[in-house]
Amino acid sequence: MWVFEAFGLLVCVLAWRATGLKFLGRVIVGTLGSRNENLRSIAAISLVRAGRMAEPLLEEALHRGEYLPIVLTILADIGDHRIESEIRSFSAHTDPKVAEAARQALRVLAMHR
Amino acid sequence: MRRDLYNQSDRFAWSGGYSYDARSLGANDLVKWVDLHREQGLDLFTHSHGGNVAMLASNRGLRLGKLVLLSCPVQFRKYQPNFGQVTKLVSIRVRLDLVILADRCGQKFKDSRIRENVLPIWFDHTATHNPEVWKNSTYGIPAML
Repeated sequence: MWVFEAFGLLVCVLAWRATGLKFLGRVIVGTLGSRNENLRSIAAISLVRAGRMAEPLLEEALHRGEYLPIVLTILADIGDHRIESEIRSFSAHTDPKVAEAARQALRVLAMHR
Repeated sequence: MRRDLYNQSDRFAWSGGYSYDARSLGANDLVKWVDLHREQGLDLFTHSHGGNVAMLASNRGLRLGKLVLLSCPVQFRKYQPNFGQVTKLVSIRVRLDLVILADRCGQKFKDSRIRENVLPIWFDHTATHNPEVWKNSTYGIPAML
């Protein structure tokens, strides 16, 4: 039942924000690949709200090629220009969804300026 | 019957991002898209922050017929429509939407010009765009529009 998972995820977010334990953060990043849209959204919102704290975990996912479109979107929403060149490298990705997410992410980053 | 613009190859889409900047960019793109397609006055069905994109766009020249806000996270100070640009505003939501809760937004519009409808469904942010929910006559969604 996704509702129980959602409450578990919210508890996990609180614990991660309080302790900074990476394995908790990885659980949240891993939820970006959930089949359930509610869980994916809660994870994404929580990572954006965490800001810089979430960046190393998102970069890990980026390097592993996991959940690429949503990870690119979240990184842009956090708004750190240090990862701009990395996002740019995905704008010619063979998967059109990834390439489009990267292009949109670059536009959002440009808005942060 | 109006044309289904969502079913076209060049349909409008925005990044679906989780920041004000992403939504603001989406609003600019929506205004341009509607101008390009000469669709001023169209009816829009929006889900989640898509509703906030549409409300921002209404302040940037977008004229709408009906604006239907499905499970829209409420941040009325940041996102409110230009009521003069929208003929009718309808909000449809569930009880205690967990995604909106995680986003720390309001669940309910308090402005009486936005007609609030609450489905007898708990927690599920996606229920309002689920075709099965729309087809289920016990919810009576068509009558809310």
